[in-house]
Amino acid sequence: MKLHYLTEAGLECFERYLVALRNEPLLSAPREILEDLEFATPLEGSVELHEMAFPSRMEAARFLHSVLAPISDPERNKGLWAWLSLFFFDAVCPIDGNGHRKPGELPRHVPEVGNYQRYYRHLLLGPYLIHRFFSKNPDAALSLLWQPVHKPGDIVGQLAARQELVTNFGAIEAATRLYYDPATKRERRGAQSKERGGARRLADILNQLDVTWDLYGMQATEIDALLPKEFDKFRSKAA
Amino acid sequence: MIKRINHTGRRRILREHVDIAFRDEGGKPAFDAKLDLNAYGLPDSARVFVEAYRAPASWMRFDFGTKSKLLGPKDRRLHDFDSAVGVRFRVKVTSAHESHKILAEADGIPLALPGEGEEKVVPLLKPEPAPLGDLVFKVSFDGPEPTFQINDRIPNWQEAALEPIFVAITYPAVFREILVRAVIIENHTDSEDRDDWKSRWLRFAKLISGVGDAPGEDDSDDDKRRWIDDAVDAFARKIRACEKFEEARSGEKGTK
Repeated sequence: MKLHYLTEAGLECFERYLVALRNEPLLSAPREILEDLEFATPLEGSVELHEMAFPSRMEAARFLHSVLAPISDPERNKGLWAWLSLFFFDAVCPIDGNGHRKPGELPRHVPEVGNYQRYYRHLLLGPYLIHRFFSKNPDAALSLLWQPVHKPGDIVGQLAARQELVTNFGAIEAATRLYYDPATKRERRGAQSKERGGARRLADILNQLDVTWDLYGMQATEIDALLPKEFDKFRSKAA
Repeated sequence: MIKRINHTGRRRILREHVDIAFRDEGGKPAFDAKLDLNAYGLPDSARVFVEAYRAPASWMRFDFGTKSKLLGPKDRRLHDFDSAVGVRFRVKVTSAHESHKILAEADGIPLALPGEGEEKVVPLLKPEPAPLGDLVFKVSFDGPEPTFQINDRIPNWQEAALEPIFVAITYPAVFREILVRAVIIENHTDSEDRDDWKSRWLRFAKLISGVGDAPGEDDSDDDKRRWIDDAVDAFARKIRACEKFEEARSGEKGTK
Protein backbone atom coordinates (compact mmCIF):
# COMPACT_ATOMS: atom_id res chain seq x y z
CA MET A 1 0.00 0.00 0.00
CA LYS A 2 1.27 3.50 -0.83
CA LEU A 3 1.91 5.95 1.96
CA HIS A 4 -1.05 8.26 2.61
CA TYR A 5 -2.07 10.90 5.11
CA LEU A 6 -5.46 10.98 6.80
CA THR A 7 -7.80 13.79 5.83
CA GLU A 8 -9.89 15.65 8.40
CA ALA A 9 -12.60 13.03 7.92
CA GLY A 10 -10.01 10.28 8.29
CA LEU A 11 -8.62 11.81 11.48
CA GLU A 12 -12.12 12.12 12.90
CA CYS A 13 -12.89 8.50 12.07
CA PHE A 14 -9.63 7.22 13.59
CA GLU A 15 -10.03 9.33 16.73
CA ARG A 16 -13.60 8.11 17.16
CA TYR A 17 -12.36 4.54 16.92
CA LEU A 18 -9.61 5.15 19.50
CA VAL A 19 -12.11 6.61 21.96
CA ALA A 20 -14.56 3.74 21.42
CA LEU A 21 -11.76 1.18 21.82
CA ARG A 22 -11.27 2.19 25.44
CA ASN A 23 -14.71 0.78 26.28
CA GLU A 24 -14.90 -1.90 23.62
CA PRO A 25 -11.40 -3.38 23.51
CA LEU A 26 -12.34 -6.01 20.92
CA LEU A 27 -13.21 -3.47 18.21
CA SER A 28 -11.38 -3.93 14.92
CA ALA A 29 -9.30 -1.07 13.57
CA PRO A 30 -10.90 0.81 10.64
CA ARG A 31 -8.21 -0.23 8.18
CA GLU A 32 -10.65 0.18 5.32
CA ILE A 33 -10.13 3.96 5.47
CA LEU A 34 -6.39 3.66 4.75
CA GLU A 35 -6.92 3.83 0.98
CA ASP A 36 -10.39 5.37 0.86
CA LEU A 37 -9.97 8.75 -0.80
CA GLU A 38 -12.66 10.25 1.40
CA PHE A 39 -10.50 9.53 4.43
CA ALA A 40 -6.93 9.43 3.12
CA THR A 41 -4.82 11.10 0.44
CA PRO A 42 -1.84 9.37 -1.17
CA LEU A 43 1.54 11.05 -0.81
CA GLU A 44 3.17 11.59 -4.16
CA GLY A 45 6.43 9.79 -4.81
CA SER A 46 6.14 7.62 -1.73
CA VAL A 47 7.21 4.01 -1.61
CA GLU A 48 5.09 0.90 -1.17
CA LEU A 49 4.59 -0.11 2.47
CA HIS A 50 3.99 -3.57 3.88
CA GLU A 51 2.78 -4.48 7.32
CA MET A 52 5.64 -5.46 9.56
CA ALA A 53 6.58 -5.90 13.19
CA PHE A 54 9.22 -3.73 14.85
CA PRO A 55 11.29 -5.34 17.60
CA SER A 56 12.00 -1.92 19.13
CA ARG A 57 11.57 1.83 18.75
CA MET A 58 15.01 1.87 17.14
CA GLU A 59 13.90 -0.49 14.36
CA ALA A 60 10.71 1.47 13.79
CA ALA A 61 12.68 4.74 13.67
CA ARG A 62 15.24 3.33 11.21
CA PHE A 63 12.47 2.12 8.94
CA LEU A 64 10.58 5.42 9.08
CA HIS A 65 13.77 7.37 8.50
CA SER A 66 14.33 5.58 5.21
CA VAL A 67 10.69 5.62 4.09
CA LEU A 68 10.15 9.31 4.86
CA ALA A 69 13.46 10.57 3.47
CA PRO A 70 11.91 12.03 0.28
CA ILE A 71 9.15 13.87 2.19
CA SER A 72 9.63 17.47 3.29
CA ASP A 73 8.85 18.37 6.92
CA PRO A 74 7.11 15.06 7.70
CA GLU A 75 7.05 15.86 11.42
CA ARG A 76 4.51 18.62 10.82
CA ASN A 77 2.00 16.39 9.02
CA LYS A 78 -0.46 15.19 11.63
CA GLY A 79 -2.48 13.16 9.11
CA LEU A 80 0.61 11.27 7.97
CA TRP A 81 1.50 10.12 11.48
CA ALA A 82 -2.07 9.16 12.25
CA TRP A 83 -2.18 7.16 9.01
CA LEU A 84 1.08 5.41 9.94
CA SER A 85 -0.34 4.57 13.36
CA LEU A 86 -3.40 3.03 11.80
CA PHE A 87 -1.32 1.15 9.21
CA PHE A 88 1.00 -0.25 11.91
CA PHE A 89 -1.75 -0.57 14.50
CA ASP A 90 -0.68 -4.05 15.59
CA ALA A 91 2.73 -2.60 16.48
CA VAL A 92 1.51 0.50 18.32
CA CYS A 93 -1.52 -1.09 19.95
CA PRO A 94 -0.98 -4.86 20.05
CA ILE A 95 -3.66 -7.36 21.04
CA ASP A 96 -3.05 -8.79 24.51
CA GLY A 97 -3.65 -12.34 25.76
CA ASN A 98 -7.36 -11.65 26.15
CA GLY A 99 -7.74 -10.39 22.62
CA HIS A 100 -8.01 -6.81 23.90
CA ARG A 101 -6.30 -3.66 22.67
CA LYS A 102 -5.45 -0.84 25.09
CA PRO A 103 -4.86 2.33 23.07
CA GLY A 104 -3.92 4.69 25.94
CA GLU A 105 -4.02 8.44 25.38
CA LEU A 106 -4.90 9.88 21.98
CA PRO A 107 -1.50 11.60 21.38
CA ARG A 108 0.11 8.13 21.28
CA HIS A 109 -1.62 7.60 17.93
CA VAL A 110 -2.63 11.06 16.67
CA PRO A 111 0.21 13.48 17.37
CA GLU A 112 -0.21 16.91 18.89
CA VAL A 113 2.13 18.47 16.37
CA GLY A 114 1.64 21.98 17.77
CA ASN A 115 2.58 20.95 21.28
CA TYR A 116 6.33 20.73 21.61
CA GLN A 117 6.20 18.85 24.89
CA ARG A 118 3.76 16.21 23.68
CA TYR A 119 5.19 15.57 20.23
CA TYR A 120 7.16 12.67 21.64
CA ARG A 121 4.17 10.83 22.99
CA HIS A 122 3.34 9.67 19.49
CA LEU A 123 4.62 6.12 19.30
CA LEU A 124 6.13 6.50 15.83
CA LEU A 125 6.88 10.22 15.51
CA GLY A 126 8.75 10.26 18.85
CA PRO A 127 11.36 7.62 17.93
CA TYR A 128 11.57 8.99 14.39
CA LEU A 129 12.55 12.48 15.64
CA ILE A 130 15.07 11.12 18.13
CA HIS A 131 16.64 8.85 15.50
CA ARG A 132 16.80 11.71 13.01
CA PHE A 133 18.56 13.98 15.46
CA PHE A 134 21.03 11.26 16.42
CA SER A 135 21.34 9.90 12.89
CA LYS A 136 25.16 10.02 12.99
CA ASN A 137 25.22 7.75 16.03
CA PRO A 138 21.75 6.43 16.90
CA ASP A 139 23.20 3.97 19.43
CA ALA A 140 24.02 6.94 21.68
CA ALA A 141 20.25 7.37 22.11
CA LEU A 142 19.50 3.74 22.93
CA SER A 143 18.18 4.75 26.36
CA LEU A 144 15.31 6.33 24.41
CA LEU A 145 15.06 3.82 21.58
CA TRP A 146 15.56 0.28 22.94
CA GLN A 147 11.96 -0.04 24.17
CA PRO A 148 9.08 -1.82 22.46
CA VAL A 149 7.19 0.56 20.19
CA HIS A 150 4.03 0.46 22.30
CA LYS A 151 5.80 0.86 25.67
CA PRO A 152 8.19 3.82 25.63
CA GLY A 153 8.37 4.06 29.43
CA ASP A 154 9.30 6.76 31.90
CA ILE A 155 12.83 7.52 30.68
CA VAL A 156 11.41 8.67 27.36
CA GLY A 157 8.78 10.71 29.18
CA GLN A 158 11.40 12.44 31.32
CA LEU A 159 14.12 13.11 28.77
CA ALA A 160 12.40 13.33 25.40
CA ALA A 161 9.80 15.87 26.47
CA ARG A 162 12.49 18.45 27.30
CA GLN A 163 13.91 20.03 24.19
CA GLU A 164 17.15 21.12 25.83
CA LEU A 165 17.84 17.51 26.78
CA VAL A 166 16.66 15.61 23.74
CA THR A 167 18.76 17.85 21.48
CA ASN A 168 21.88 17.45 23.63
CA PHE A 169 24.11 14.67 22.28
CA GLY A 170 26.27 14.47 25.39
CA ALA A 171 23.36 14.42 27.84
CA ILE A 172 21.48 11.68 26.01
CA GLU A 173 24.62 9.60 25.53
CA ALA A 174 25.33 9.99 29.26
CA ALA A 175 21.79 8.75 29.99
CA THR A 176 22.33 5.80 27.68
CA ARG A 177 25.58 4.87 29.47
CA LEU A 178 23.84 5.06 32.83
CA TYR A 179 20.57 3.36 32.08
CA TYR A 180 20.99 1.10 29.06
CA ASP A 181 22.55 -2.31 29.51
CA PRO A 182 24.11 -3.53 26.23
CA ALA A 183 24.33 -7.07 27.59
CA THR A 184 20.59 -7.45 28.13
CA LYS A 185 19.65 -4.87 25.47
CA ARG A 186 17.27 -3.20 27.87
CA GLU A 187 17.44 -0.64 30.65
CA ARG A 188 19.01 -1.33 34.01
CA ARG A 189 16.83 -2.03 37.01
CA GLY A 190 15.82 1.16 38.81
CA ALA A 191 16.40 3.43 35.83
CA GLN A 192 12.75 4.43 35.76
CA SER A 193 12.72 5.06 39.47
CA LYS A 194 11.58 8.45 40.68
CA GLU A 195 14.09 8.09 43.50
CA ARG A 196 17.79 8.83 43.65
CA GLY A 197 19.73 8.21 40.49
CA GLY A 198 16.63 7.61 38.34
CA ALA A 199 15.79 9.28 35.05
CA ARG A 200 13.55 11.89 36.62
CA ARG A 201 16.37 12.99 38.93
CA LEU A 202 18.75 13.07 35.98
CA ALA A 203 16.44 15.36 34.05
CA ASP A 204 16.05 17.71 37.03
CA ILE A 205 19.76 17.79 37.82
CA LEU A 206 20.75 18.43 34.19
CA ASN A 207 18.21 21.23 34.11
CA GLN A 208 19.98 22.87 37.06
CA LEU A 209 23.52 22.18 35.79
CA ASP A 210 22.55 23.83 32.52
CA VAL A 211 22.50 27.18 34.33
CA THR A 212 26.23 26.95 35.13
CA TRP A 213 27.73 24.65 32.55
CA ASP A 214 27.70 24.65 28.78
CA LEU A 215 26.23 21.16 28.59
CA TYR A 216 25.81 21.37 24.82
CA GLY A 217 29.56 21.65 24.45
CA MET A 218 30.34 18.69 26.68
CA GLN A 219 31.01 15.04 25.96
CA ALA A 220 28.96 12.37 27.75
CA THR A 221 31.89 11.56 30.05
CA GLU A 222 32.24 15.21 31.05
CA ILE A 223 28.55 15.46 31.87
CA ASP A 224 28.70 12.22 33.80
CA ALA A 225 31.55 13.64 35.88
CA LEU A 226 29.28 16.47 37.02
CA LEU A 227 26.58 14.15 38.31
CA PRO A 228 26.37 13.54 42.07
CA LYS A 229 27.06 10.28 43.88
CA GLU A 230 23.46 9.15 43.75
CA PHE A 231 24.18 7.99 40.19
CA ASP A 232 27.05 5.72 41.31
CA LYS A 233 24.83 2.67 41.37
CA PHE A 234 24.33 3.02 37.63
CA ARG A 235 27.89 4.18 36.95
CA SER A 236 29.36 1.07 38.54
CA LYS A 237 27.18 -1.13 36.34
CA ALA A 238 28.16 0.84 33.26
CA ALA A 239 31.89 0.55 33.98
CA MET B 1 10.66 19.80 37.66
CA ILE B 2 12.95 21.68 40.01
CA LYS B 3 13.23 25.43 39.59
CA ARG B 4 16.41 26.63 37.87
CA ILE B 5 18.33 28.93 40.18
CA ASN B 6 21.22 31.06 38.98
CA HIS B 7 23.72 31.71 41.78
CA THR B 8 26.61 31.51 39.39
CA GLY B 9 27.37 35.13 38.67
CA ARG B 10 26.81 34.44 35.01
CA ARG B 11 26.31 37.68 33.08
CA ARG B 12 23.32 38.23 30.86
CA ILE B 13 24.22 39.67 27.49
CA LEU B 14 21.79 42.40 26.50
CA ARG B 15 19.89 42.16 23.27
CA GLU B 16 21.22 45.49 22.10
CA HIS B 17 24.65 43.85 21.95
CA VAL B 18 23.57 40.96 19.73
CA ASP B 19 22.44 41.23 16.12
CA ILE B 20 21.62 38.04 14.27
CA ALA B 21 20.54 38.68 10.69
CA PHE B 22 19.06 36.32 8.14
CA ARG B 23 20.89 35.66 4.89
CA ASP B 24 19.85 33.40 2.03
CA GLU B 25 22.72 31.28 0.80
CA GLY B 26 21.92 29.16 -2.21
CA GLY B 27 18.35 28.62 -1.07
CA LYS B 28 19.42 27.61 2.45
CA PRO B 29 18.86 29.88 5.43
CA ALA B 30 22.09 31.28 6.85
CA PHE B 31 22.92 34.02 9.33
CA ASP B 32 25.37 36.78 10.15
CA ALA B 33 26.06 37.67 13.76
CA LYS B 34 27.35 40.93 15.20
CA LEU B 35 28.32 40.62 18.84
CA ASP B 36 29.51 43.39 21.14
CA LEU B 37 30.84 41.77 24.30
CA ASN B 38 32.96 44.64 25.61
CA ALA B 39 30.61 45.77 28.36
CA TYR B 40 30.73 42.61 30.47
CA GLY B 41 34.27 42.44 31.85
CA LEU B 42 34.87 39.12 30.15
CA PRO B 43 38.43 37.83 29.71
CA ASP B 44 39.85 38.12 26.21
CA SER B 45 40.41 34.38 26.14
CA ALA B 46 36.73 33.52 26.82
CA ARG B 47 35.25 31.29 24.15
CA VAL B 48 32.15 32.34 22.24
CA PHE B 49 29.52 30.07 20.71
CA VAL B 50 26.32 30.81 18.83
CA GLU B 51 23.59 28.17 18.87
CA ALA B 52 20.53 28.03 16.62
CA TYR B 53 17.53 26.02 17.77
CA ARG B 54 13.89 25.37 17.12
CA ALA B 55 11.45 23.11 18.92
CA PRO B 56 10.95 20.21 19.01
CA ALA B 57 14.31 18.81 17.98
CA SER B 58 16.53 21.04 15.85
CA TRP B 59 19.78 22.51 17.11
CA MET B 60 23.09 23.65 15.62
CA ARG B 61 26.19 25.14 17.20
CA PHE B 62 28.76 27.53 15.70
CA ASP B 63 32.17 28.31 17.19
CA PHE B 64 32.82 32.07 17.09
CA GLY B 65 36.36 31.99 18.48
CA THR B 66 37.27 34.08 21.50
CA LYS B 67 36.08 37.37 22.92
CA SER B 68 39.19 39.20 21.67
CA LYS B 69 39.14 37.49 18.29
CA LEU B 70 35.51 37.05 17.33
CA LEU B 71 35.42 35.08 14.12
CA GLY B 72 32.53 32.87 13.09
CA PRO B 73 32.90 29.87 10.82
CA LYS B 74 32.70 30.54 7.08
CA ASP B 75 29.76 28.19 6.69
CA ARG B 76 26.92 29.64 8.71
CA ARG B 77 24.14 27.91 6.83
CA LEU B 78 21.40 26.40 8.97
CA HIS B 79 21.61 22.98 7.38
CA ASP B 80 19.35 21.33 9.94
CA PHE B 81 16.48 23.77 9.36
CA ASP B 82 14.21 23.66 6.31
CA SER B 83 13.43 27.35 6.76
CA ALA B 84 14.31 30.22 9.08
CA VAL B 85 10.79 30.41 10.52
CA GLY B 86 10.77 30.21 14.30
CA VAL B 87 14.54 29.78 14.64
CA ARG B 88 15.98 31.33 17.82
CA PHE B 89 19.58 31.90 18.83
CA ARG B 90 21.57 31.61 22.00
CA VAL B 91 24.97 33.22 22.51
CA LYS B 92 27.20 31.57 25.09
CA VAL B 93 30.50 32.79 26.44
CA THR B 94 32.47 30.17 28.34
CA SER B 95 35.64 30.20 30.38
CA ALA B 96 38.86 29.17 28.68
CA HIS B 97 40.35 28.16 32.03
CA GLU B 98 37.44 26.42 33.73
CA SER B 99 36.31 24.34 30.82
CA HIS B 100 32.65 24.69 29.79
CA LYS B 101 31.74 27.09 32.60
CA ILE B 102 29.28 29.69 31.31
CA LEU B 103 30.41 33.28 31.94
CA ALA B 104 27.71 35.09 29.98
CA GLU B 105 24.68 34.22 27.91
CA ALA B 106 21.94 35.68 25.73
CA ASP B 107 18.96 33.50 24.81
CA GLY B 108 15.84 33.65 22.68
CA ILE B 109 17.35 35.97 20.07
CA PRO B 110 15.13 36.02 16.99
CA LEU B 111 16.56 36.06 13.50
CA ALA B 112 16.20 39.55 12.03
CA LEU B 113 14.74 39.29 8.56
CA PRO B 114 15.87 41.62 5.75
CA GLY B 115 14.73 45.18 6.50
CA GLU B 116 14.49 44.56 10.23
CA GLY B 117 18.20 44.72 10.91
CA GLU B 118 18.46 48.49 11.09
CA GLU B 119 15.80 48.80 13.74
CA LYS B 120 16.69 48.25 17.34
CA VAL B 121 13.03 47.87 18.28
CA VAL B 122 12.25 44.24 19.02
CA PRO B 123 8.54 43.48 18.59
CA LEU B 124 6.94 42.07 21.70
CA LEU B 125 5.20 39.36 19.76
CA LYS B 126 5.43 38.39 16.14
CA PRO B 127 3.01 35.91 14.55
CA GLU B 128 4.63 32.68 13.42
CA PRO B 129 3.14 29.81 11.43
CA ALA B 130 2.85 26.48 13.24
CA PRO B 131 1.09 23.18 12.68
CA LEU B 132 -1.78 23.60 15.13
CA GLY B 133 -4.23 20.93 14.04
CA ASP B 134 -7.66 22.50 14.31
CA LEU B 135 -6.64 25.48 16.42
CA VAL B 136 -6.58 28.84 14.65
CA PHE B 137 -3.99 30.35 16.98
CA LYS B 138 -2.10 29.58 20.12
CA VAL B 139 0.24 31.32 22.55
CA SER B 140 3.14 28.97 23.10
CA PHE B 141 5.35 29.19 26.16
CA ASP B 142 7.59 26.32 25.13
CA GLY B 143 10.49 28.53 24.10
CA PRO B 144 12.47 31.09 26.10
CA GLU B 145 9.73 33.66 25.44
CA PRO B 146 6.10 33.50 24.28
CA THR B 147 5.32 33.03 20.62
CA PHE B 148 2.07 33.83 18.87
CA GLN B 149 1.40 30.89 16.60
CA ILE B 150 -1.03 30.94 13.70
CA ASN B 151 -2.19 27.73 12.07
CA ASP B 152 0.01 27.22 9.02
CA ARG B 153 -2.90 25.64 7.16
CA ILE B 154 -4.54 29.07 6.91
CA PRO B 155 -3.76 30.49 3.46
CA ASN B 156 -1.89 33.82 3.70
CA TRP B 157 -1.67 33.45 7.46
CA GLN B 158 0.36 36.70 7.69
CA GLU B 159 -2.53 38.66 6.19
CA ALA B 160 -5.07 36.76 8.27
CA ALA B 161 -3.20 37.78 11.43
CA LEU B 162 -3.71 41.45 10.55
CA GLU B 163 -7.38 41.28 9.62
CA PRO B 164 -9.39 43.59 11.91
CA ILE B 165 -11.82 40.90 13.05
CA PHE B 166 -8.93 38.59 13.94
CA VAL B 167 -7.08 41.37 15.76
CA ALA B 168 -10.22 42.42 17.65
CA ILE B 169 -10.91 38.93 18.97
CA THR B 170 -7.49 37.40 19.46
CA TYR B 171 -5.13 40.18 20.55
CA PRO B 172 -6.82 41.00 23.88
CA ALA B 173 -7.06 37.25 24.61
CA VAL B 174 -3.39 36.77 23.79
CA PHE B 175 -2.47 39.79 25.94
CA ARG B 176 -4.43 38.34 28.86
CA GLU B 177 -2.83 34.90 28.51
CA ILE B 178 0.65 36.38 28.53
CA LEU B 179 -0.01 38.59 31.55
CA VAL B 180 -1.54 35.68 33.48
CA ARG B 181 1.59 33.65 32.75
CA ALA B 182 3.95 36.45 33.77
CA VAL B 183 2.13 37.89 36.79
CA ILE B 184 0.30 34.92 38.31
CA ILE B 185 2.03 31.75 37.19
CA GLU B 186 5.59 33.13 37.20
CA ASN B 187 4.86 35.69 39.96
CA HIS B 188 7.00 38.25 38.13
CA THR B 189 6.90 41.86 39.30
CA ASP B 190 9.99 43.57 37.88
CA SER B 191 9.30 45.70 34.82
CA GLU B 192 12.80 47.14 34.37
CA ASP B 193 14.77 44.20 33.01
CA ARG B 194 14.85 44.86 29.27
CA ASP B 195 16.07 41.35 28.51
CA ASP B 196 13.33 39.51 30.30
CA TRP B 197 10.15 38.98 28.27
CA LYS B 198 7.99 39.19 31.39
CA SER B 199 9.42 42.61 32.29
CA ARG B 200 8.90 43.86 28.77
CA TRP B 201 5.24 42.84 28.85
CA LEU B 202 4.71 44.37 32.29
CA ARG B 203 6.27 47.62 31.10
CA PHE B 204 4.06 47.59 28.03
CA ALA B 205 0.98 47.07 30.21
CA LYS B 206 2.03 49.94 32.49
CA LEU B 207 2.45 52.28 29.53
CA ILE B 208 -1.14 51.79 28.47
CA SER B 209 -3.14 54.70 29.69
CA GLY B 210 -5.03 54.10 32.92
CA VAL B 211 -3.09 51.09 34.17
CA GLY B 212 -1.08 51.52 37.34
CA ASP B 213 2.07 49.75 38.51
CA ALA B 214 2.18 46.00 38.28
CA PRO B 215 1.13 44.18 41.45
CA GLY B 216 3.81 43.08 43.90
CA GLU B 217 4.92 39.54 44.70
CA ASP B 218 2.88 39.48 47.88
CA ASP B 219 -0.36 40.74 46.38
CA SER B 220 -3.15 38.20 46.23
CA ASP B 221 -4.05 36.41 43.02
CA ASP B 222 -7.37 38.29 43.09
CA ASP B 223 -5.50 41.63 43.10
CA LYS B 224 -3.31 40.41 40.26
CA ARG B 225 -6.32 39.29 38.25
CA ARG B 226 -7.97 42.68 38.76
CA TRP B 227 -4.82 44.41 37.48
CA ILE B 228 -4.75 42.09 34.47
CA ASP B 229 -8.45 42.78 33.80
CA ASP B 230 -7.74 46.52 33.85
CA ALA B 231 -4.74 46.13 31.58
CA VAL B 232 -6.66 44.05 29.07
CA ASP B 233 -9.58 46.51 29.10
CA ALA B 234 -7.16 49.37 28.44
CA PHE B 235 -5.46 47.42 25.68
CA ALA B 236 -8.79 46.62 24.00
CA ARG B 237 -9.64 50.35 24.19
CA LYS B 238 -6.28 51.27 22.72
CA ILE B 239 -6.68 49.01 19.69
CA ARG B 240 -10.42 49.85 19.43
CA ALA B 241 -11.22 46.16 19.45
CA CYS B 242 -15.01 46.37 19.61
CA GLU B 243 -15.13 49.10 16.97
CA LYS B 244 -12.92 47.05 14.65
CA PHE B 245 -15.14 44.04 15.19
CA GLU B 246 -18.33 45.99 14.43
CA GLU B 247 -16.78 47.58 11.33
CA ALA B 248 -15.60 44.22 10.06
CA ARG B 249 -19.05 42.72 10.60
CA SER B 250 -20.87 45.59 8.94
CA GLY B 251 -18.41 45.38 6.05
CA GLU B 252 -19.18 41.70 5.65
CA LYS B 253 -22.91 42.38 5.73
CA GLY B 254 -22.46 45.09 3.12
CA THR B 255 -20.87 42.66 0.71
CA LYS B 256 -23.63 40.05 1.10
